[in-house]
Amino acid sequence: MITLDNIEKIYRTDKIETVALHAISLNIREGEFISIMGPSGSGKSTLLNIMGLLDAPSGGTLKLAGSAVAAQGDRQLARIRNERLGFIFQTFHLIQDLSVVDNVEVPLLYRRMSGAERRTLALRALERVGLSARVHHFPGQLSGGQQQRVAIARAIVGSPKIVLADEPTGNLDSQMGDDIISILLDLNKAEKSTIVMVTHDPRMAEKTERTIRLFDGRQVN
Amino acid sequence: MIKHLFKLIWNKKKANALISIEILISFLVLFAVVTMAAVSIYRFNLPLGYAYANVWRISIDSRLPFDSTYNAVKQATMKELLVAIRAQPQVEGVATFAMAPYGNNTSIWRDKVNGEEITIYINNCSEEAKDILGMRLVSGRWFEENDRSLAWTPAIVNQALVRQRFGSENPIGKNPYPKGDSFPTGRGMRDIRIVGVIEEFRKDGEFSAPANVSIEYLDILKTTRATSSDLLIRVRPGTDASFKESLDRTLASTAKGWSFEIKTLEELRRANFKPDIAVMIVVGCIAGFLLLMVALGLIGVLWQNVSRRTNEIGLRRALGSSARMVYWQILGELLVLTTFGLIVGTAIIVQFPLLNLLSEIPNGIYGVALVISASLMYGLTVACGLYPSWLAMEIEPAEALHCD
Repeated sequence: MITLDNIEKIYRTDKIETVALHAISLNIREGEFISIMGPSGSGKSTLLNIMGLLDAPSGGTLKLAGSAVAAQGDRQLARIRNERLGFIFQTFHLIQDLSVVDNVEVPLLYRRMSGAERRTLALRALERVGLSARVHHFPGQLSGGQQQRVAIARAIVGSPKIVLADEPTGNLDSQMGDDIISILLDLNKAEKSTIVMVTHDPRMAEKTERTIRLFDGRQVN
Repeated sequence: MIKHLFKLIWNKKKANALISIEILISFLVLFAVVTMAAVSIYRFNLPLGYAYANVWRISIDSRLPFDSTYNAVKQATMKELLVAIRAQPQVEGVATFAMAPYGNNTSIWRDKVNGEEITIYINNCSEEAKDILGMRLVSGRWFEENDRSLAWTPAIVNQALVRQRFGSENPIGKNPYPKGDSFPTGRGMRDIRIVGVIEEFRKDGEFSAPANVSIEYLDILKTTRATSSDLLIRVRPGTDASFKESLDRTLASTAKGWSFEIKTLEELRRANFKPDIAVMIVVGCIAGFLLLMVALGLIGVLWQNVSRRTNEIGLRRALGSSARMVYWQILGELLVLTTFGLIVGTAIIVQFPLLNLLSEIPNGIYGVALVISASLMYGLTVACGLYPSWLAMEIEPAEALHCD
């Protein structure tokens, strides 16, 4: 589903060159749930951003469902992100001025779809994460765990094949973290979604099928 | 997407209210300036009712007090003056006009008739004035020499007066003023009869508002019944300014002790324009300065808005928005805010024609000014939003998502 071949990421300024990722090669199969672990600054988030087409690699090849994405323009990349990828972030990244259901609808705004259809899909996604009773609340009125559920609903509302989660339990207590992982595991099983999760927590990583470890931008296992 | 933008703005209404109020105030100021300009252009293109080219005004100061009997001495001097003027080869004709075009003096009659206020600009002229000023008669007849011996006063009125006073009735033979008017002169009680109707006579020039006009007959020999009076002469095309001096000398030697000021109507017209144009320039500069301040303020607010929303912009990029879509979203939000301001502004503006608050301005002008000022406001806000929108478009999603 996701193939990385010799991916490199180098940040260059006038005087300094920082290697964030070095020769990363990975093959993530369809329906696989993997975790990426490593200390801070090891390149986990950079790798996830490259997989999520939010950042371009300095070298190497990235393929999604067999197609190389390097040559795609901004509009095509946006379309791929919208249709094939779902994102979950550590800090939820909900739009504070929109209600829960409106937040969940945001990815669907970039698709040709009627308002009623968008609303139906958003409500269904919220029901899936157990937040049907909170659809008209605003993010500020929800707990951290509930906000992350909204973010998951937003990530899955467009039925993407791949979900990229950047430390989804990082800002939650262990109970809430377990709830979130349960939802992701359920999603992985029921929908056969490919999930890539960056985490610091070995307990969470244990629940995934495979763990990729990074250190100083290099793959160590 | 538009509904989403409305929702986004509505949910942040407190923060957005100030921008909308700023846009509203600018819109109202811009509307006032555009209306003023539109009224000026509209009036400029209305019929003036006379031709000013090759017409000169001779202002006479007889240095004698007002004399309602028009004494014989004055009339004799006047007769000599007319002979002297007509003898000039450059002169094609001469007429008297109590208040000549582009002059500063005005005589107004105002009263209420059946609850409706009527204003009439009064003037006087002799029978020669029609040819001197090229005035066009629409119906009835012009003044003639025989009018001097009439026991009643003939009057020529414009079409606007006929419409307001008589509607579709034939005004010929009727008094332009209603009987029993409360004005001290009691014009309605005098025997004044309309003999002819002219299309228009806007004495105060191109920028003046159309008004009701009644021109009563004045014998040219009685030009100097007041201390100061005006004669109008039509000179042959090509007559240059040197003729002024020779004419002045001729007049001074004919009517000793009297003084004269000779000016072309074109000179008077230019002088007449100056205050109007000066007001337009001053108001235009103030409005321009205000709009510049608003534009700079808007750019600043939008810039700050984009910086504050870096995170959200990054998120939208991650969820499927292209850089171009982010650009249009920021501009779209600004257009929605502008629309809010313009809707409130339009609701205020439509009160003017609905309540007839400024009756001098035709309703069509409001419509034109509204469309122009709304378009300019949209243009201004879009121009202000271009740079902040471009900044938003340039935000890298990976970096934006890690900004807090």
